[in-house]
Amino acid sequence: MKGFFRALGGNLPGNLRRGLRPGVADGGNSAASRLRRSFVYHLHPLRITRRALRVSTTLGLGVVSLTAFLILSVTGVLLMIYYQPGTGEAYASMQDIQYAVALGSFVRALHRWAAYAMLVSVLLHLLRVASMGAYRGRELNWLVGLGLGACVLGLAFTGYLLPWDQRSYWAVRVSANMLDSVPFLGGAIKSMMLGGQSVGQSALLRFYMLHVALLPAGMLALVAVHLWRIRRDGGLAGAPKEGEDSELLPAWPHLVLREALLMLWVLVILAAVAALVSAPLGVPVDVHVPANPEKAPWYFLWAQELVSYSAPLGAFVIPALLLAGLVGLPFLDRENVGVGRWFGTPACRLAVLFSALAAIAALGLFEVFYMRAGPGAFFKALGTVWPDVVNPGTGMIVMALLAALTAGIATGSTRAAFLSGLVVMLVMLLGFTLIGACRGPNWVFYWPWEGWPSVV
Amino acid sequence: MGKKDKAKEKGAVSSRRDFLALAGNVGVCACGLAAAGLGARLAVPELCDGPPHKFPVGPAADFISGTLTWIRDREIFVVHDGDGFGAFSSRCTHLGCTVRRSTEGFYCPCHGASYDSQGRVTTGPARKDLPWYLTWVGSDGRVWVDTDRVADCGSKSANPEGSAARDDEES
Amino acid sequence: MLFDLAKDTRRLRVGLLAGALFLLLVLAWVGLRAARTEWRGTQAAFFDLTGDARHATEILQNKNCTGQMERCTTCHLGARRRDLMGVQVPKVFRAHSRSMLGHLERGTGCGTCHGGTGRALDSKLAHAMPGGRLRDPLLGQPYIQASCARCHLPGAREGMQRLVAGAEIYLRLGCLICHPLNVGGRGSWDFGTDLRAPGRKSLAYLRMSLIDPAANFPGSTMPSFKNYFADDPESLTDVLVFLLSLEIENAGNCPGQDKRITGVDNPCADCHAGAAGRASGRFVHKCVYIVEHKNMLTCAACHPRQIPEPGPGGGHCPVIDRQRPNCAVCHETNEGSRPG
Repeated sequence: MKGFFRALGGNLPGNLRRGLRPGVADGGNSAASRLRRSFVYHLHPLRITRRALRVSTTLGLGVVSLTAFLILSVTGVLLMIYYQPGTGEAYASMQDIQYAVALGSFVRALHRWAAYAMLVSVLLHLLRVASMGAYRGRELNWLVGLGLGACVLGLAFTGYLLPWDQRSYWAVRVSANMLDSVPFLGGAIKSMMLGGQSVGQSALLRFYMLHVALLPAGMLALVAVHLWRIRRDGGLAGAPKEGEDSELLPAWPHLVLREALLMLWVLVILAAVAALVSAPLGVPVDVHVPANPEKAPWYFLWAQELVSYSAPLGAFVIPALLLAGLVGLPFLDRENVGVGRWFGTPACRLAVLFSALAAIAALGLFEVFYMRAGPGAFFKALGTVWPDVVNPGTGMIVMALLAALTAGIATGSTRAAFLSGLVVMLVMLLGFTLIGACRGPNWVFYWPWEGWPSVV
Repeated sequence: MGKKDKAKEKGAVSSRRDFLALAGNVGVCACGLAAAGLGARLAVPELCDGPPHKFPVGPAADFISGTLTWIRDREIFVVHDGDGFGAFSSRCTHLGCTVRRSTEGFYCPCHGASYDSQGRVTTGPARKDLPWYLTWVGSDGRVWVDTDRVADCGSKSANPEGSAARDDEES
Repeated sequence: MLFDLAKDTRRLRVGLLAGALFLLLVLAWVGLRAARTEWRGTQAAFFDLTGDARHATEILQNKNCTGQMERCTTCHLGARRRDLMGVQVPKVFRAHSRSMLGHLERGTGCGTCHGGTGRALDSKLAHAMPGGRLRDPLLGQPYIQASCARCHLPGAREGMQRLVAGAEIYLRLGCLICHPLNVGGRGSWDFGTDLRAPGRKSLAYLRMSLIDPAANFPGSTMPSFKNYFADDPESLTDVLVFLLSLEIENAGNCPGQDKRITGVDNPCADCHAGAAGRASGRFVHKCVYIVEHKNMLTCAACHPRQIPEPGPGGGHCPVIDRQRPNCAVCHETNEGSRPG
């Protein structure tokens, strides 16, 4: 009997103790060692530099994003048990999840807060990689990362429709109409996305399919490639400084347990937030009458604000420019200087700081003039054609280009040029998000301390 | 077999091998593309899930002269005045939100576009006027609207018969 | 400084342990909260109160007559208990008022009349409109009389006094001029809102529309009725009841509902379809004036109040005054020939 259990793993305490000792894998035959060798060392090198353990190197954003994705997958599968993707049943099934299903409101809240966390961490991860120039020589992985970003935005967008409440429906209806501004392919994409010309049962089913099957599968595949490429490209970008930063340490347990710790604490924090704060469920849909105001979710408020100046600009021109800029970044900036340091060189840092301040000032000026005049006056002054060309959105593009040129010429560095341009766009998009958040009924701007009038 | 022949044979075998490899790759790629194409074709919708584009909105006698009526299910306004019946869309030409009535005409709550009482755009991110549609009173006494046939702004058809269009039953 | 491997590992282990403990705490809390829901406690209290054999707590749900699922009886276990009538019990367990108990027993359901979010099991959310519009509470007296319009003509049954009073005021004050309610004129004249648009506006908004319309709608040409209602706040409530009733769609499948010919929108035409000169119906209007103005007026524009006896078909229309048509609605003096 005893022999049977021993064979089964009765030596577990002994094995565990051996396995948990610090130091390099002992090459032993214990289950822990074998697991470590086959799985852990596939994802991690045997040894890593001390620099890789520092928080300030990467801020752990990739791990946070991955954790959020895992949480979303698990909670998503659980929600699929009760959610029904039919226009008559969807809202009722969401109400059931929220009110009647045991732990339903917790799982739903966890799903939503993890989604928001993922959007933020993915954006910050992109910014971290960009500002370190860590894409240098890693064009493929950068593109894979952009693909992942697109998948994340797609998941956020498709998932938002599923509750089928007033905000969901109108967000998708307006976004689908935004596709009319995209030349050549816009109409075709819209019709494929909606399964017709209006947002109805076909659209809900297609969004559901995208949200639970196609996009998660795409994410999984791209994540696998992304992680593989990191190993293949030699780990973290940039050489460590001489001295203690370049000290070599065993990845197990120092790196691996750090990652595990981060994953665990992300889960703890999200679970605590989900336990305390419930995810909201909006008013049931009215397919003919939008609310006043009808606001996009916070991560698309910048787009709503831009589109309120000019539909082709906000729906096509600016996203296309952003995409082109991001895709082209590793091909156009081929500097090796300063890779792996935050903002590269001190000159670059200065350029970025100046650009950020200039962007804030410019944003303030644009909006003060625009807001004082009121949205109607702006359009009245410029007629029906000029607002497409002269508006805060195009102002942002012009400023970004100016900042990039100035920084590039002043520092002589393409990295500085791109980062300056990027930071201008970022600051202004953030500004547009805040302004969009302050918009009230009839899309009139109200300061946060002014109340909104109650209108129909 | 002579050396030259052996070499030639080897060369022939290599090129055949290469050719087969290339053909195989091309074939697999072609299959992949074909599959993707078929999948994409599947996704293109065949069934139109919207309401019909030509429809009656109600008995003509129900539309009091001098009124503007919003037909909720079709998202159009029907107007009846001395010249007859007219109809125009209540969807903002910017991004499709339903406009509401204002003292000067209409405004869109989504981004602040505004129109005058004839649906002409006055301010806002909208650029085009609210489209008017062909409207007539059918032989059944009902007011019919055809959203596929755009009419001039403000056009109304005189009571009762206004056009050569046939009144099809709504499907 | 040399990196202390052992110390680092220890710190990581402690961090992991702490994280695991916190997570367990959070999950335990969530689990406990799920096990001790409000409705379970309420049900247990009810079973204790009535001395019933110990039932297992479960969610009770039913479809009301509009097809919506509701779970009100999960907590409101005493609603249909005639034996609890008049007995002193906590508010949640009280039996439903005797007058409407018949409706409950016929399967009307709760939300049909009271509104609210039937699928919710949390009292705060269930007693508000869906979407967490906690400003819009459950309908009680007198506003619940608005729900009667879902199936009944105003005045056709008992218990609708305030609804009827509100309808009379609506007509007497000339609201119909800008907000006619007949079938075709689904909007109104150029400037009046369609008051039958669904999407329940809050009572505060409706009240403000009567007291100070410009506050809700800058530039509005609607006159303010503040002075009229200042003397008589109860009549303001009556009008609000009537306005709420305008949004309520006819349910269509309740066994006890009043029969309608043309639908909820023009109750007059249910019986008097011939009034405007149309082919069928009870009568063709005698007054030539009406026939001339048939496209501009509704019945109630001139006949604001009613005192007739119930007709042979059963039911009566409380808003028609056959004796004293009110031309002053549009004209300053009674002019022109008016037969009989």
